[in-house]
Amino acid sequence: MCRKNATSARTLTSSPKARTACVLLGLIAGVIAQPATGGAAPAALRVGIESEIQGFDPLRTPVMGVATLTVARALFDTLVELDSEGHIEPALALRLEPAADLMSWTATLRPDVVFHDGTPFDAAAVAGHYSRLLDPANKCACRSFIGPIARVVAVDAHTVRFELSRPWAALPAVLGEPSVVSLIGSPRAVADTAREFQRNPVGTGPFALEQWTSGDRVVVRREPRHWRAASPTLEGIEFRVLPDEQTRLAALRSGELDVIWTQSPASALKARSEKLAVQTQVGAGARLLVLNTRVTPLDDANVRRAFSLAIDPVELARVFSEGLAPPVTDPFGPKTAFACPASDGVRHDLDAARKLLRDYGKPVHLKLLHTNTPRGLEAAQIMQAMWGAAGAEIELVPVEQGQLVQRVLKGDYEIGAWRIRDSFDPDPDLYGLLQSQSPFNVTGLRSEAIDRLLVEGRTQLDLTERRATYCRLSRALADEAPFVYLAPNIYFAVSGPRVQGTPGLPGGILDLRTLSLAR
Amino acid sequence: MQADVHHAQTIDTARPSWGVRCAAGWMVVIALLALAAPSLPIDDPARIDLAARNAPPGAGHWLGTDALGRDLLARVIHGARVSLLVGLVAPAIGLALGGAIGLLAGFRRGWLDAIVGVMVDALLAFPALILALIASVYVGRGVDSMIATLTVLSVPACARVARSAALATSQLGYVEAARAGGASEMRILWRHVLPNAMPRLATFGLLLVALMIVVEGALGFLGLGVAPPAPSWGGMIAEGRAQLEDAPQVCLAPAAVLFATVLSLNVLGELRRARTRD
Amino acid sequence: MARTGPARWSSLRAGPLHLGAVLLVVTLLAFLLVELLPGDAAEALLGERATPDALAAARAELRLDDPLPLRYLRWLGAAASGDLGRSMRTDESVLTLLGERLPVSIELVILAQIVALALAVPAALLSAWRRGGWLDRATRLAGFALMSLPGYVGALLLILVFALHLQWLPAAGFAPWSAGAGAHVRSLALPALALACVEAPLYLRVLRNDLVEVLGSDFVRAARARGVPPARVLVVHALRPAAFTLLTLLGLSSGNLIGGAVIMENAFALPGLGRLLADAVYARDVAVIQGAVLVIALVYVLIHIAVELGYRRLDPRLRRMHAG
Repeated sequence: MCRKNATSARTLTSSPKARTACVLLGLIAGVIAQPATGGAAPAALRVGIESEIQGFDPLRTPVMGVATLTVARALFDTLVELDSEGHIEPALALRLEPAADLMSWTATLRPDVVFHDGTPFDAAAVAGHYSRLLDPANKCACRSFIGPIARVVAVDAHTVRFELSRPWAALPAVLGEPSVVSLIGSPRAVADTAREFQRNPVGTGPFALEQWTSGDRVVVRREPRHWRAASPTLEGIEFRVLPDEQTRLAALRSGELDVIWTQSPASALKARSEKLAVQTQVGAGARLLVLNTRVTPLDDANVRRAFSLAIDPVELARVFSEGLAPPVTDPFGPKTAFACPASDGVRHDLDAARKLLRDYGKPVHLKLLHTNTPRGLEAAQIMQAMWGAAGAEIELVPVEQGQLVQRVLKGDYEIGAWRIRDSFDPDPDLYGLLQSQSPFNVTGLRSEAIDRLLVEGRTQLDLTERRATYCRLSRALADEAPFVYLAPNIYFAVSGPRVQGTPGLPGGILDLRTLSLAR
Repeated sequence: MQADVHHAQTIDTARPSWGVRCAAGWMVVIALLALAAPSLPIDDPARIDLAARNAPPGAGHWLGTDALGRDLLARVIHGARVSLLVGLVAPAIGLALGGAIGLLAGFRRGWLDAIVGVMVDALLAFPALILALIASVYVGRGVDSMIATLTVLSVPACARVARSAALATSQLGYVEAARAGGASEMRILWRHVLPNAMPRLATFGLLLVALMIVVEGALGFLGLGVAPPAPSWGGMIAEGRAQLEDAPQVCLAPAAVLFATVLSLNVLGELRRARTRD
Repeated sequence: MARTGPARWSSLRAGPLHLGAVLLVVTLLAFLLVELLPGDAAEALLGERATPDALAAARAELRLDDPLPLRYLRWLGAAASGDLGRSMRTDESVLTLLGERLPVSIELVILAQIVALALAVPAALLSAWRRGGWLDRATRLAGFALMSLPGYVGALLLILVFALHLQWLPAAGFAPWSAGAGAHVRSLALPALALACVEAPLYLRVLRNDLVEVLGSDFVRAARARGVPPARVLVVHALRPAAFTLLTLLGLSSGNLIGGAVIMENAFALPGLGRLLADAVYARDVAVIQGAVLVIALVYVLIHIAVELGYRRLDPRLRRMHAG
């Protein structure tokens, strides 16, 4: 150690090891110093979504989540589309008209439309699509969504007739909203058993699937042959799966993403405060908890009522919506045509809840199945505390979203998180959820009164009559209490500075087709 | 020559003793707080107050509140109970069980050693966290399950250390002589091998406690720790992640306490190691 | 005994028979770990409310009633030919899933090792050279503190500073190579750094101690007395023998880094093997868990083999000198 410091320092930097280290550090620093968006601005729209895409085959994905539908919206078209007021607009069908006796509807198809794999889009394709869903041998759980459809017939090459078993006011809405049943895929691709349609979707939409990496991203590229005259100017869309709320927002703010979808009011408020464009949709339906009536003690209506009484909708609204939406007290949503006055919905009375549980006699210990996302965990802990105050002991069981859907559909749960979709017409979802024989009746509730009301609401065509019927349904539901409402379906789309145009959020599903990117 | 050869293996000789005193002091404070937690005049860690969410440190809440309005100080202290309990019991069992197996294998050699060697290597071929991941889901959630999981990790690790200690001791002159002289193996084990191995095992044990607390935190961070609403440091860190930008105290309070605890344990472990060397 | 280090790791140097036995035990454990769970695969598939008939049918279909060794061998045989089953959740082939996820994890681990070395080696060199000085003490203090910082805490601190406040790097998410090399490396930068911080202190400490010891050896003192310049002393005479220990460390810690990768992939939302395993564990996706655990253990054993080969390449004389 007799060397002087200066000499050692100089000779140290001449050592090859040190040099390599310096080079490495320099490389790292150089890469970090690159601008956030990289070299050239990417031509694809980069979208952040919350959950994994399930798959596109209706027979294998009985319930398509919002994320899946967001991607599907770009890949497929529906026969008709609904504008923000619920009026029908032509899409793949130029006209959709009911017969005089209202027992059938006829759709006139748009000519010269082709699927991405070259198969012509015609009446046979439409009839084939619906027949496949309706075929009892296929056991599609989706049949309950299109129950009143008896048969779909191709009258000629461009005319399709939907024959109903009873009048059905909701048919246009069902055909118009993107869902498992309304998105029409290429018959050739569906029949091709080598390439599973589940992961290799082929539709008529403005974009075609280019790449799908599970758990990471889906990339779609523009399909220039699309029938819509004003084709999108986007070259493609990259959907990135980012379950973490904060990450998604941070990626938008740093320029990694152009649009994000979120249900977090906190994120929306933060984005607004930073002058980002925020599109809000307070939709129909609700986020709720479903109580499995096949399980003791939930088979006792009083216990279920206690669970309803124990929660305070106003406080829940404050937590889940941060004041951006009113509390939920019925399954229709606060701002729809079918919303019922609050007095018809649920009440909050903690003492009554406690009394009901005490009167039950036996200890109440239940498992709450929720998604293992921060939002899911937060909601679950709040419910655990609220019900704990009423005297019930709740154990939390976090599971992945896909797993949750599977288990609730199978009935393998006690209390589960669920969602009534944001749709124009409450009938398909409520019918599927509440009708005694429906495969989607996840609570197992069997009530003749409710069945009757469901059928009435489905077959009546006058809006006033339907409203009254559904209000009666809401009261019957409050009495049977298979649901505990948490929050309305509230959605936000936040756009970055590169985006031109406003993303739509009909039904909470991002509609990106009208967007373009600033050069 | 001596000055050069005296390489300081440990941080201790370079560290002023106030560091060691701080470490010991912190462990005492944490242990006392954890023990006395239910009787302390602090909030109920599970009490949700939706009006005071993500509050910064202040009068009513010394460390602030989390996303559900629960007092952070109370949750951190109650989280210490879980962490310390798990962090102490699992290594203790590991030392007892794994230590015994390892000592026997290292001393006896032969087929026992071969089998133990293979099993230990195989178990340690699973990165600890992965073994814990799998074990935790099938064992369930809760403090008992956590202890079981971490014991599964501790046993092979202690076995390996005990084995190498026994190997070293059994090669010492007087031990070999005693064996040749016909002394019973158990006697030699008890009187010579074990005492020789004890210091090494004790040091390892201290470091193992720190490791187990970190692993418990990791499982909590991944959402596989003790079930809510029971607080655990790892779980709190994971939950606080969503508020990292707006209310970092939710994440940083348990993180700081966790860090301080692990650091103190490592300092004390180093102290032991230094003592057993000199 | 000079230290517990290399002697403890001498079990690494066991022959192919030992490694082969380890491999066999690992595959057996991978199979057993998920077979010995409460409730068998049929229940996991059908749920708690399944009827006894449905359960019996499922069990017959899955051939769950065959003896355990037979099932193990069948699984092993299928695995060897690439059939690891299908994921219960997405119905994808497990092999495909592993193939998609493994490269991300491997890249993360390799990058982390590089960064860890880049941090540890210069610091160790400086520290050992200026042994006892303030730089040495500061470095060792910092290393000690860093070693006590759990990986997930470090990851969040890095996110807080570099991603949320400074906004230099993305907070999470993965950009594949197809998105551009720059974006790709940037998406791995923070996770690699976080993971490196877990291992670098250990490298620093062991390497420094090794270097100090070697620097004090007669061999090196003689070289210095001959007038060899200090840099050459450090690199040629000291670092080479210490590389022996470093290689051992690299090998050992690669296994632990895989475990650390689970945390980092979770914290940074990377689509790697660790996160696949964590998700599968949540969902009790048995086939995926088995496949992922198998791959991880295999990789670990392969690394050990690679380390062994690395030993052979290093100068045998140095090996003898080191072990002596």
